[in-house]
Amino acid sequence: MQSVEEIRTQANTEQGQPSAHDQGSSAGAHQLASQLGDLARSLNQESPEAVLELVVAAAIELIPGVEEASLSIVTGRKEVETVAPSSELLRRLDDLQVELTEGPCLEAIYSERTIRVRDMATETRWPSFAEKATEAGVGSMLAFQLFVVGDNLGALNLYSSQVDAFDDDSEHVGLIVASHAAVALADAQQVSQLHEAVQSRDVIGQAKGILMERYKITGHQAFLLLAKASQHTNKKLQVLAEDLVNSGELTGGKT
Amino acid sequence: MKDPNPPKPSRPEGDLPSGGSGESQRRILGRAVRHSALPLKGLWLHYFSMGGTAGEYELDAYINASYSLPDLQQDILAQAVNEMIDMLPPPPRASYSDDTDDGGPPTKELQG
Repeated sequence: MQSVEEIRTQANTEQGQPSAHDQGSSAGAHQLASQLGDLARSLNQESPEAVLELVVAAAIELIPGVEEASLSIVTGRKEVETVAPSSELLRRLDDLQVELTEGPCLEAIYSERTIRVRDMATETRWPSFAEKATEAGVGSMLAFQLFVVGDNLGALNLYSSQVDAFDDDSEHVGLIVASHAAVALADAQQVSQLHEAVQSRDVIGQAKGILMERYKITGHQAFLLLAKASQHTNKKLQVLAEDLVNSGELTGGKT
Repeated sequence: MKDPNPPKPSRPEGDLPSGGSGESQRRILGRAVRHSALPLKGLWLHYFSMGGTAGEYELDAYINASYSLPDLQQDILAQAVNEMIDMLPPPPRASYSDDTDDGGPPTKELQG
């Protein structure tokens, strides 16, 4: 797979190329490269949610044959979550794969591959899913695994109502978009983890403040009190802090 | 650095290795981190989420070298380490001849 650096370099060398002449039915290579460059730049500046929607929008716009697209994200190696689907139907189709524990998206996520379904009606690899998807009007599909960091995996799922909508070109361009998506997703996940961490800090800070005032103790002593209560109750310190802030009571603390 | 007076603990019982000097607290923590092979990045994030103020490199230096942290920071880190250890999946266990399913009896989850 092409690395992001390569794509960026490629995009940069193509920058400034005239693109107006290239409005034919298929996107020319030059125009595509500069569009991908634009995508890479805008992905760097957006909020996590916006990044996901941008990736999906870019997939629909740039990859030949795509009508609808979504991203699947695996959290904690178990839960598969659909994000930024371009229509509600996709959410149902993605959920259906999780329910049936079969389907091209799951296959792409777990087997580190690109999966192409030429004709959903004659698809035999995932019979239960194929039947439901055909009923819902899906003609063909293309799914890419996203190489996200560590335990975090995901897939870029592309749908069309036409049979055989995706060709080799779709796969090539799709791989590039998927690699951008992977980088952007990893960043977005990091940002949202940090966001959660900051919220947790805030709650723990409030809980300490309550204890400091209540028992006339220092911040450090208040923290130790929470830590001891956490050991006694086998609950996370953050959970105890949240309970304390909400109820005024410290579970497992002083009585 | 002198260790703080513990805050009038209601019941100073058992399983917390009680303070001692900052240096022994540091060694015990380092041993715990290495034993469970806790990833530094995840540990830092968890420590940060509980009010930690030191950076990732400072944590690394505290755990593996002789860099010192303020008392409160040491305690926040200790809590982060213990919570991360509690979150680790239980090690695989043996089964008995009359166990029906592969996984053995359901293991009790203590997490809230």
